[in-house]
Amino acid sequence: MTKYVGQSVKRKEDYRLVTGTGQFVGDIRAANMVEAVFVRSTHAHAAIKGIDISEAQALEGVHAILTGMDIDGIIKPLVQFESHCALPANLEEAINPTIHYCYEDVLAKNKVMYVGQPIAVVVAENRYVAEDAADLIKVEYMTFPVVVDPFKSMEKGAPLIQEHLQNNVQADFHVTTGNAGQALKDADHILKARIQTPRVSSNPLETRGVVSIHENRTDQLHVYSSTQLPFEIRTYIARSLDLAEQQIRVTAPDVGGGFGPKGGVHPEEILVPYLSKLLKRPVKWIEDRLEHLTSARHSRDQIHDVEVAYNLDGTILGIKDHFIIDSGAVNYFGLTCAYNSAYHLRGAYKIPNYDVTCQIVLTNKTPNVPFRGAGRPEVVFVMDRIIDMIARKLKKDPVDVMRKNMIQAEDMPYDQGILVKDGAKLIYDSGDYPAALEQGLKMVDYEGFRERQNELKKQGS
Amino acid sequence: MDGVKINLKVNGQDISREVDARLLLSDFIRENLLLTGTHIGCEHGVCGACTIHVNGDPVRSCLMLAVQADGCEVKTVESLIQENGDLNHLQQAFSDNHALQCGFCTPGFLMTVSSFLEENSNPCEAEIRKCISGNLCRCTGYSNIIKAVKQAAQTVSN
Repeated sequence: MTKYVGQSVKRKEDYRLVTGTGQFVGDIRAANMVEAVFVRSTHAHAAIKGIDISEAQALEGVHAILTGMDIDGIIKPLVQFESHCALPANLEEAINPTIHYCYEDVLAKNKVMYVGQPIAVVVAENRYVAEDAADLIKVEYMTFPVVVDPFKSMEKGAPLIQEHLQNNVQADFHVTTGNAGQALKDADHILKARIQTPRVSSNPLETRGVVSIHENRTDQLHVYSSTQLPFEIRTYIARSLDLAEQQIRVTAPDVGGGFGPKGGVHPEEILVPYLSKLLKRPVKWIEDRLEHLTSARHSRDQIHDVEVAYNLDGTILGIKDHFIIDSGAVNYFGLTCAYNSAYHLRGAYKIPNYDVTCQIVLTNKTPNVPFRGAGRPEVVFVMDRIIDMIARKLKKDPVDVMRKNMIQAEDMPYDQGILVKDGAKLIYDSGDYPAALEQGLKMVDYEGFRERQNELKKQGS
Repeated sequence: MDGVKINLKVNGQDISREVDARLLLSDFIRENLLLTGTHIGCEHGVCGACTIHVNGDPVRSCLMLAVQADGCEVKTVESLIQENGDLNHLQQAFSDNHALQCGFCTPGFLMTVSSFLEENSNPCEAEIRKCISGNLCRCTGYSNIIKAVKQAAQTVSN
């Protein structure tokens, strides 16, 4: 063990990465390879009235142009990722969830739901020609009212994002322990606040990209994708193209950063393999930065309305939270972020009365997927804001409010009274959070900081 | 589209090719010369991943056309390695200091920094920070890159 534990171990990938000999998806070449470029929606919500590809088709060097109607009935739409959406029976019983199925055509057929949604794909000799052709494709839209505010999206009569649903609330659940209602009645004070985390786009330095090579002799697809989820991609190529998983090999080569958006399955990861089979030629597609900003999946975008019951000494008796996740046009990941948020909110604090309702709402934005922390950073922020706001109200140091409410070492194992997403009880097995806090405060010289702050305040600067 | 004949030197080798006038230098290097160490992150001169040397100066190859490099001397990340296959002092310093994680931005940083160190053998931290301010890294953070640049500068001065 001493060979590794406590030792600085050299990374095996460094040599190739510092010498420029790594192999990222854009570096992969194959004989006869052609390049794909996507035509994307310039509207957030619109009907597609017509697509004129005639001029583009006439351009020299163009091999294929596909629109949604060309693949209707051939490529199945992308649907929610079952392995991430399945809930154990005891959790279902405890939180009474509703999850409506939602989906996305890999090329929009009748209407577009967000800016950047793929509408057509052009394959040409190289990317320059493919982009020339893409520019010549004329899409005729009839615009619909755009819904970008999740509260407006929930209003009766709001335009439907997914037309097969009754309304735009795609999922909801309720998790509770103790009696938050009673705590709100008993407390000295009640804090009411709206705490939001913004929508973010992740932007790894390497954009997404797919190369697919179809071997005719064995009817095998070898797909390279700059992805965090190669097996998920294999599953969804198989489902969408009616293939067996054994016919597909997905390789994630050197990946130039992921951070979440490369953790979903995107339409391009289905279409590029299909094209390589159709054209009997290797096909490459490399996303550009603009495409990444609009079409690669986003994350976060939570709005929490909290009511916090607390006493004059800073003790938090209970939290009631109703939160909304604006998931954009599609939610592929069920309650992944939502329930992670719900069961992590209280973090290191002992708050026995806790009641959370969540609604996942669809809007005309890029679909959300989990980014780093998958719902947890959002609620760490919510809880920190709660601590700060209580401290401000009581004119106390936030650290004192933290100390007052922390789970103590002697409380371990500590049962939070609710379930984890896999159905197990949320029991913290060990830990000395107060000691960790004190250590952290010492490391940053918190007391010294407060003293200097007071000095400067006195000086009025 | 009519081709334009260009002659240039890339990593010490004379190159003569006919290219489309609109071909980006970054695409020429990657697609025509197959030097895929030069990475493309944004294609509008923001991220610095495609940085190469043109006549000794660090430039963003996505903001230059291949035809503009006619008559120039170009160096890419592939030129840094020593003849015996060992890493050069800067590459070694990046590896020693964990100055890279995914490695996608790394070639750009190496080219920016190697040109900088040629003119500043003993840079202070502020100068290093300024030097790398045009290159984006998303994984590792910049602290270890700064450490690596300091180590490389010291190796040279020793």
